[in-house]
Amino acid sequence: MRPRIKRHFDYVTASQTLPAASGIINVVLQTRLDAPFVLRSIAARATFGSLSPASAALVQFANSDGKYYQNAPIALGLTSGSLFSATAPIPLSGQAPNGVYTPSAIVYPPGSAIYANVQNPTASDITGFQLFFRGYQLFECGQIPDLTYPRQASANPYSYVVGTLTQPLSLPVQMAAPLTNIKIPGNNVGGGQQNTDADFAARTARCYFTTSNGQYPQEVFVRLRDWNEKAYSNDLIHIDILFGALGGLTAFSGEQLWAPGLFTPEIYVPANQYLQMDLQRTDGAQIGFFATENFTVGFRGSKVYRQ
Amino acid sequence: VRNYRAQFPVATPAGYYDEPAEYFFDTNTLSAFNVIIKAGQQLNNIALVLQNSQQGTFEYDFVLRAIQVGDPQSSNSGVGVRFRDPLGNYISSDYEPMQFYFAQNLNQQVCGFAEVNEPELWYPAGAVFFVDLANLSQVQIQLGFFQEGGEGPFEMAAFPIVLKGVHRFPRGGNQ
Repeated sequence: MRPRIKRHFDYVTASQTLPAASGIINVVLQTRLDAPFVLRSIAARATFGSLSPASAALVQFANSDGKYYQNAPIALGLTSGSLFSATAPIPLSGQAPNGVYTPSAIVYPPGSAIYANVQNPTASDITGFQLFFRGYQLFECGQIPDLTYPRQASANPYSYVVGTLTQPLSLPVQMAAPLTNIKIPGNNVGGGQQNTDADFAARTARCYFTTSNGQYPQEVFVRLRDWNEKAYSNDLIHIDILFGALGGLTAFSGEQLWAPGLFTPEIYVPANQYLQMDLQRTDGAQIGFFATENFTVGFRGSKVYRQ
Repeated sequence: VRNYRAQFPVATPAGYYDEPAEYFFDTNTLSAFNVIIKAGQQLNNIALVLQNSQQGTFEYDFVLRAIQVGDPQSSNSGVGVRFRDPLGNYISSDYEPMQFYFAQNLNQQVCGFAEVNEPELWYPAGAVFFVDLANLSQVQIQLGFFQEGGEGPFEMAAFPIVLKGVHRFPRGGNQ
């Protein structure tokens, strides 16, 4: 078998409202044309105002031939790894952990379709509903740069932090368009120092808001890109999914980071290059009081030194 | 398949054996933590002594595999932390919110998972672990402040930092 290159990738469905007591709603995602997609985990989310009904949403998904893996739509929590408690079911699947892994890999050819059926059996609308199909693209050798560890190298644990004390990354309540080209390593938009002394293998990421008023932002979305602008997802991904959950048992206890988001496989950034991040916040329609807040992201992994 | 590396538990090098070890520091045991940090203020190079003669562990190498920072009373949420490796190099590009080093267990305000170091960091016997603190928030923070009538059922350790890993011994040595 010819060697192939794995590259982390997430497919996310468009945000939609599932009306109360809906019938089955069909969702179709087309995979990219450049490489097959290998599905390894499923996750889902809804806006914080729809937590309770979303926990009862039903989901069913299929391979590219339309063969469903469930005989009928089943509870979201069972499909996508929700956290449940007696008082507040939480369908934020990013944290438990990063969706539920499929028992075996499901391969979608380039340009094929990911079919899913969703249903809202509750008496309340579910807003901001999204499904996440997480995994990796499988490229032929030579199709993209083959980034991996040198034959001889040493490593050190390391975190690259974006949005710092001296260079804060400030997010207004509502952003009409994403803030783009935030560079890692480096800080904020444009420029920033490059990682000149070592490669960097990013394995996990976390985020945090050093909020000024105790009100944590809720609708914050991120898309990662490599230095060639090639994205690691088809659209912006909510931070609860990509960076591990920010939400806790209550809608606003955003300081509780359950577990970091995992990159599978890890994202390898060679020396003198960088990872890029697009960032958008769309709060405002939800309950509560929101203000401009400073945002911090930490990408954790290893510096890899060539020898 | 290229560009994939399975992640395995860290193996003990040949010729050594490991024993589990944890080091615990908080505002009660380390006076340097018993401070008020103003907004934007930085407190750097706070030394955490890994071994001392009272514990009889002065000759032990310590291999750090994970770091855990707690916030039992949820009063330190604006604190940033930065750590160094045994050679004095920072292991992050800047201060990280302390929340990156813990995951709270439901609403009980206790520490959850530790943040894992991969690969591990090997601190030789007698080494000192340095931590930098900064106030990333816009208000003053009294580190480890215990609020009477808070959520905790009793007074808990204030601003605990736990270094998790192993003591490493050479086989055939005098341990």
